Amino acid sequence: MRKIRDGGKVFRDPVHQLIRIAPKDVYILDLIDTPEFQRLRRIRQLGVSWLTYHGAEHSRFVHSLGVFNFAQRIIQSLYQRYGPKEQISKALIEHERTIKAAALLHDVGHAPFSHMLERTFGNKHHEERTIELILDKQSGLNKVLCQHRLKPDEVASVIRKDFPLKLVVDIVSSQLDADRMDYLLRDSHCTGVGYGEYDPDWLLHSMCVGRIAGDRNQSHQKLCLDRRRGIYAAERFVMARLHMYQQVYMHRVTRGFEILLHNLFSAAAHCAKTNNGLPPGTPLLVETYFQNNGQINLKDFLQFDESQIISACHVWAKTEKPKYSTIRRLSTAFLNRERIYAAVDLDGTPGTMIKLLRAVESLPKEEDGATPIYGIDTIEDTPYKGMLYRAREHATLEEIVNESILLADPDNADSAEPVETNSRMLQEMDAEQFEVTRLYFDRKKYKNIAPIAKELNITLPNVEV
Amino acid sequence: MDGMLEVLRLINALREVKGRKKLQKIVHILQSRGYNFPHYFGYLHYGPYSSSLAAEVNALVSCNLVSENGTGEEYEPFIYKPEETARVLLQDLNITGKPPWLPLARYLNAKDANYLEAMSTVLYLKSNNFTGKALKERFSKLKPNLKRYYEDALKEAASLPK
Repeated sequence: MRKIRDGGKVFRDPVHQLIRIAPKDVYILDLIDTPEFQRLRRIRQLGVSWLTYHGAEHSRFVHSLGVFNFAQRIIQSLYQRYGPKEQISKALIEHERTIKAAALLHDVGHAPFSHMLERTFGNKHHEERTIELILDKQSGLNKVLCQHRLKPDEVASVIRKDFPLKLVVDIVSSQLDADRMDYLLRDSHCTGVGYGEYDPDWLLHSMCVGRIAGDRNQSHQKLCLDRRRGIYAAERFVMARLHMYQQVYMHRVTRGFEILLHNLFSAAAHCAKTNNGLPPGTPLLVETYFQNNGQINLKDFLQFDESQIISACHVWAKTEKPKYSTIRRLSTAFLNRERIYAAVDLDGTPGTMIKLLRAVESLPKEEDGATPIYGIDTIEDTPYKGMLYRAREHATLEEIVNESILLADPDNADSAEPVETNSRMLQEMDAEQFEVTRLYFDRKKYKNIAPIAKELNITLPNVEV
Repeated sequence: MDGMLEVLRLINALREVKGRKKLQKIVHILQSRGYNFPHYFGYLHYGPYSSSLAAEVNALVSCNLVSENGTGEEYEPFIYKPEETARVLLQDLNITGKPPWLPLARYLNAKDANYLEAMSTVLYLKSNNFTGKALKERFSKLKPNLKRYYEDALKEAASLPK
């Protein structure tokens, strides 16, 4: 166990300035020192966004520390509001250590280029891996939690969102959680895109607890904002999310490189599982991972980081055999940031998309047997769904509770309502403008794609090959 | 896109689903029985819930492949029905024939949404290694309002066909 000075430990941080660990929270330092948590230094927070925004090199390590800090500030803020005698404060004190541990560890299960690998193999969601790492008795995280008399299954339950007290879950994962509060500011700071800024101090100051009218379950008290103080802070928070989605997370170039990596991983998996195997010199861990359809044991997972994938790309880019032509081309394009794809926004129906997908899939195979290089990118993760539902006036209680930021009247805590019902600005916005579907296609395949697009009334951009 | 198509096929096959909650729970239960619905379900306020499924249903409604009509009651339920365009699209894409999950889906669709919520929650907890007393305790804490369904949901969750 780490020793900690009476004054606690302080980390410097570009977003929070100082992150303080109090002496009573020494278990946080021990969790940080585990190989599982240190591994996050080698996983970037924003996947391949650094190919678009050169500053977006920040890791999940720094983000996780930031989430911990916001979680402790939310607890402090609620404690100050309600005072030591209130039931809410007692519950927060009882579960404080579990909340902070869950906030710190919520991302430990991310694989390198996490979402692309998940999409390729579709077998394990990063949240499931996080839970496994916390519950596995061989993991350093599990040992530290047990040494400090924390219950790993309770920490896992908060991350899994099935912890019985919803307020506890909300601090780590909700529409108003420590995770979003940190990643917006951090991504904004590191990319240089100023739109992600909002007023965190006032947001924290406005936090309170409330329950949707009609929901009689006592354990369903939610993290809310004080109706009198919080509405503008909430609007800024929602706007920050909307603009960051448009400017950063849905960026055309970034999403194009995600599609490229997904296609590279699919082609590599195809090679690994056939007689071809992967080119000699491929890191053993990467070869095993692709051969086993993305299955990996805990010991290997600790070494499985972005440096392994990038090393593999260097090997693949140098191979000259025709049977590896697709992975050679895609690895080279990734390493050298070559934009081999062109993109077109699609506004057709799912029917058109599916027809397009099928037509592209039926194109002749590449010379090495790989599927032609293309991708349809549907942004399913709407930045703020609450607005979407409200706009359609079809929200169910379940959707409101799951997808909206809530405002509550501190004098009548059973009257929480979604912020969008109280905000003219959010009501005026057209949420559907944030739904984006794009076709990415290999510029070299323009002649193959053009007739399909014409038949489906899709206008392709001019492409210089 | 495959997930959205399977959801369209489900709504088309059932002809009518009353409520988003019911649709969510049917898909979750079918997925837990091994059928190919690729949606990620996390646990949210009312049990297993998939944001991507919700988004896909919205897209199907927006594209007039599925109709969504309210009953006028507060919050719930909305009735989903396939439009004629859905049938035409599925036929166009050569997706015909009886899907393997249809008998189970029809059986679930005839059940009460709260009962499905209980069954879906039991399956979720079991998949996270809750068994016996721990399962019952966690269920009672998460779903005090659905306690009356617990025993039946538990029994049925264990005997549902794969």
